[in-house]
Amino acid sequence: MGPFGRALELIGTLDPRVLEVVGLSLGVSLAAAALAALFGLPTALALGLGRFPGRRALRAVVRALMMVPAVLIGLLAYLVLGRGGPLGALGLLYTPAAIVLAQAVLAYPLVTALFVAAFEQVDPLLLDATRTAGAGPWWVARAAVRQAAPALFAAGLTGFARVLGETGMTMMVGGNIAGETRTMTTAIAAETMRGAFELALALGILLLLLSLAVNVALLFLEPRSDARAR
Amino acid sequence: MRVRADGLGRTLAGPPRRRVLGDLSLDLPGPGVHAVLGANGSGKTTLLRLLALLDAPDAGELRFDGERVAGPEGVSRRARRRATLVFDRPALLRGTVRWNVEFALRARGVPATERPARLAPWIEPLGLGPILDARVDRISAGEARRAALARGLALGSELLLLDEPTANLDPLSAGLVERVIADLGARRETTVVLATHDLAQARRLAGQVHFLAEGRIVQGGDAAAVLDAPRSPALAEFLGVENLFRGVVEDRGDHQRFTAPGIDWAVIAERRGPCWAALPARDVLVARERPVSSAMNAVEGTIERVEERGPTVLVVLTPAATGDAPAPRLAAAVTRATVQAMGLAPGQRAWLVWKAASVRLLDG
Repeated sequence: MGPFGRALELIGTLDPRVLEVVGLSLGVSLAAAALAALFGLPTALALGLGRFPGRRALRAVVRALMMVPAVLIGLLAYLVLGRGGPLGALGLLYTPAAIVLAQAVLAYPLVTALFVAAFEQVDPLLLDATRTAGAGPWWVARAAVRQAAPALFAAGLTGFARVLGETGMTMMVGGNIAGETRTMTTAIAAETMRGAFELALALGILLLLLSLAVNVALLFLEPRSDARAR
Repeated sequence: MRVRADGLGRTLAGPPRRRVLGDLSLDLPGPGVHAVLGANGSGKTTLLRLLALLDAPDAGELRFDGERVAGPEGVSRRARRRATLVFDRPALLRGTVRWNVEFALRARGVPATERPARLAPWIEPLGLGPILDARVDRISAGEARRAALARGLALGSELLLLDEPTANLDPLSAGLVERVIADLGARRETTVVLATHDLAQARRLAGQVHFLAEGRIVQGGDAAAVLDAPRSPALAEFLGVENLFRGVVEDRGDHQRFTAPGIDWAVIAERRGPCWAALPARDVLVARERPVSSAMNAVEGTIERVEERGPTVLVVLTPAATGDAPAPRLAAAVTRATVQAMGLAPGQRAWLVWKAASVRLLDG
């Protein structure tokens, strides 16, 4: 049996090493995406619906932040969380929490920018309809979130997919400690360098399937043209 | 609620920047149906948005019961609860019809126990029973408009602003909506502002009519007075006065004449100088021969065309040239029976006759 066959066997037999890595990866990346969405939502509401000077400039800043290389965020997170760093006392470096934080920072601009785009797609008349009911900004925001819900979910999912595939940064702040901070990507990198291709391949196949699943989900979240034409 | 607008102005951001309203003044004395009549693009929606306190004017001020609620400095958020605008599109959020009404009531701060009772009175009049729990993307455009109207009505605001509430509705839906508006007017609790380009609808529903053109209220007041006695050429044209000309009124001793290139009419006027003359086609008679009558104006010419216009027939005549300028065409409205009895047809000679008092002289 070649490495590919053994990889399929690892998946088929639900090998505990595979399950552990996949579980940690999913947990960490979901948490990171959720954290990014939590902070991105108010930012996007302000940037997408608010009317204040400097709004366009701030939106440009958010878009620019998307271009920051992940490895740079990894470096900054390392310095902040590492011993001697401002948050060094928390002892987060080389823990899943560190990965979550770094990935959330990485996903935040992307998720926020997509959130802003989602809010911009909301017909302003819908928000005016809420205003004319005599509602304050809180209710206008609720109306916008409800109307944009599928697009917001898609944005969160995109953020999740982005951090799930992140490798270098995750390795820098997580340390790729087996059984503790090994994610799918860092495990693939490490196993490949060790020459242990079957586990790397198994995780690679699963990562590919996950990405595919996310993309299929995104496809279903896209507004359908027949619904738009009404 | 009394609504008073003084010198309202509103310029829409470009490009291109467009001054939609300028120096608009309006006084709605209280409950009843007030129509804002105007052509497409005359600024009706812009005006309603100002009255709903959704936008701030860039000039002038707005008062609700004497209290200043909007000016260039902004709008009073608190006063916004006194007005509700129902848009010319449904503007319903994702969810069911009932959920949408509930959401608006929750946003308004209406307690949960009161909400069903707020919606209930409008379900049957607007025919919403069958679609109340339907998702808004599963109902027709007409149903959605009625649902949006129910949402506005359930809020129970003192000032209800309706933007073209029956435009694009089928006759059945439009009928339901009109009946609800008529009932609101009869109850005299709500100040209803009905923006419409539908003249017949304004006549049917409104006690007061305010005609909006060129960014201001050109003429307003009692519906019959406005619609039957236009004082501006813009309104005369909107009302479909067929014969509308610009010229000058001159004194000829015992009477006045309105003159324009190819036109020399006897009129009754207290004014002199440049103005518009409006002559409704229904006030013009058609004769085969020069009539002997008390009418001061008679013009001979050739019938150019005879066209059906709803219940009447419009006879368009090209007058024989009298002076150096060719005379403009004139129209007379007659019944179909008259056309048949007189055998009126294009190419024939005929006389048009009207009284000096039928000519309205308008500023502008």
